[in-house]
Amino acid sequence: MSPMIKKQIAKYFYLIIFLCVVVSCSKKNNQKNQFEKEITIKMVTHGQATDPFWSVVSNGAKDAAQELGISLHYQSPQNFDMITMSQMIDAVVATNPDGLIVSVPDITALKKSIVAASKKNIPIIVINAGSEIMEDVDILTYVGQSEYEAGIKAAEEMLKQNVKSVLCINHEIGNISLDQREQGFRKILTENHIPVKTVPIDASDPSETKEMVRSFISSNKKIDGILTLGPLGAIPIVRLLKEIDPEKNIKLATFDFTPEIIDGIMNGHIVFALDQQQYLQGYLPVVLMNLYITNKNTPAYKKLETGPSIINIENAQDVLSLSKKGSR
Amino acid sequence: MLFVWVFFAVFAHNGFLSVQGTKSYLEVSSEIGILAIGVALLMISGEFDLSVGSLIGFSSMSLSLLTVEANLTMPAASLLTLLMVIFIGYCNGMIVVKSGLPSFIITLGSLFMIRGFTIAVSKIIIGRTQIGGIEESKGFSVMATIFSNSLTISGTDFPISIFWWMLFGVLGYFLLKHTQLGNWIFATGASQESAKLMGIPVKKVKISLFMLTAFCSWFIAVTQVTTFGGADVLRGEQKEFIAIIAAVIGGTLLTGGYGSIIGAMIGALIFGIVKQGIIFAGVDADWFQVFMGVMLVSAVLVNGTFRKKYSHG
Repeated sequence: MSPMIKKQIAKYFYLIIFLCVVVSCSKKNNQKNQFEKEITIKMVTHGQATDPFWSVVSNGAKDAAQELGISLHYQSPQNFDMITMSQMIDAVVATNPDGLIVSVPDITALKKSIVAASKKNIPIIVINAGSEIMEDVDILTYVGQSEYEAGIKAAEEMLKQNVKSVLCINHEIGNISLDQREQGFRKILTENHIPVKTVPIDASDPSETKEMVRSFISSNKKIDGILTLGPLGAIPIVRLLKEIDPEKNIKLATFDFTPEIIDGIMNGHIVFALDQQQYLQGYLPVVLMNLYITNKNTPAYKKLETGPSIINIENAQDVLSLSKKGSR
Repeated sequence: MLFVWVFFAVFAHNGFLSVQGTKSYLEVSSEIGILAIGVALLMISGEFDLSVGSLIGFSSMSLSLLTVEANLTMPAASLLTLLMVIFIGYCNGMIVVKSGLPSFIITLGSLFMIRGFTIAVSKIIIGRTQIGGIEESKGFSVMATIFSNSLTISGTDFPISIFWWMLFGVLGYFLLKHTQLGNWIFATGASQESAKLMGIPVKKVKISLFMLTAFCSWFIAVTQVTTFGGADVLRGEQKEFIAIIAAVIGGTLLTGGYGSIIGAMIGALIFGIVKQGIIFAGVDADWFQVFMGVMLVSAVLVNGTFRKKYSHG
């Protein structure tokens, strides 16, 4: 071995020793807290990093954890990938947390990991999607919205707008919740003889979405209503409608909202948004989990419904500032 | 790699070093690793295959649809899917060698075609983008034994894909180092023209390597379907880049002609350790990508310096 290589190896060796020293120092500080063992709750959701909806959920969870003085780790895969998500749950479970909060958009893919958590007697709360997993796994409760019913609600509101032909935008293909929303929506509209076309989009690319919908509208002139299954689909379409439809003939509605969506409602480009109040889906499970760990409280309701409520021109002003703060 | 491992062993003190933690990152590494072996061989021969990710999605949906909707037995459906996938790999290879265009572009095209086709056909047949209930199909247990069995070591189930990964690694290593085909692969990647002059069937080598990467995708797809009992159309998204990254970390050159199977396997292992280690360390998810990027670049830099020192010394 040449002296150069020896030098190189020595360099990394010193680096490792240095890191070990740093960490062991920080560990000593931690040990003070460990006398009254800190509660650690781990949260794994399928929310993509770019999705404003999920930052509200994580804000809710973090606020609750801060108020309670417990520690919370929030994880989510970068894109909608159920295999990665199941591996994340496995890793989180291996750290033996005091509680697990998880969203289940694909029960078949995630069941195995959640059963494994349950076998280790980790209390589980399911949020946002996948309440049906209760049939297989014993969970504390489910905090979320019934998606199929929310889809029906969306269709009923859409009918009030007198639409003739509707486009439905799906931004997360493979997510059962969105499929359920679409099915509920489609059922009511088809019963009323209004055609519904569903278009999948790539949520990570807003300009592509905009152009795709532009060409779709220009080749289907009859379309006078659009429902997006989430704000990631709606935001680029608002910009598109400002360009091509200044008379506001096309009625756009969306599931969930962000400050931009509320702006859209206030200047009339969006007719309504269905709000599932996702802040509660972050805040409530942390509180409930903490109560279970410290006080053995178990909620009697196995399904805590957080939505939908309708946001339209009448109440948009009230929620705007809250939404900008990241809590609505 | 040792550096990366020690880093997480120190920082992610709760659970990373446990048997369960080890299983967790080995499982992630094994799936990337099997892909990376195929991809590394192809890259050594001087070509890329960006369609591997979408082929995983295609295979898992095709397999699930054939069993659940068309009532085929699981082994038959797997075989049929394998034939289709290998054929796609063959087409990829054919188009690349016949047209002489960069495989980067050709397989980027097939990536979109295959993914789009998978989404469209699934929506036509089942109206959804996700399918489950394969456990009840005939012959499921046979396939599950081969692809998703597990070995229990001190109370934790180690998935069999880890052992397949090792086996493929050994086979790949042997192929590359000790067979004529291995020499041909290196020669093709180093200089296609001189390889041709030496009488090496360059085209055949490349086409068969495209078929090999397609086979690897199929293998991952079957593993995932039998482990998770279902499929969705987005399976394997972005795996094409991850496989290439793993190969590159392991020292395979983007330009071809140089690389090793052991390297690709170590690359996949580093990837798995980083990916799962971050979760064990409890780093906030918002920082995940930053962390990943830093770890990858430093791994490559470390590898690079060592390689230079060795080749000069």
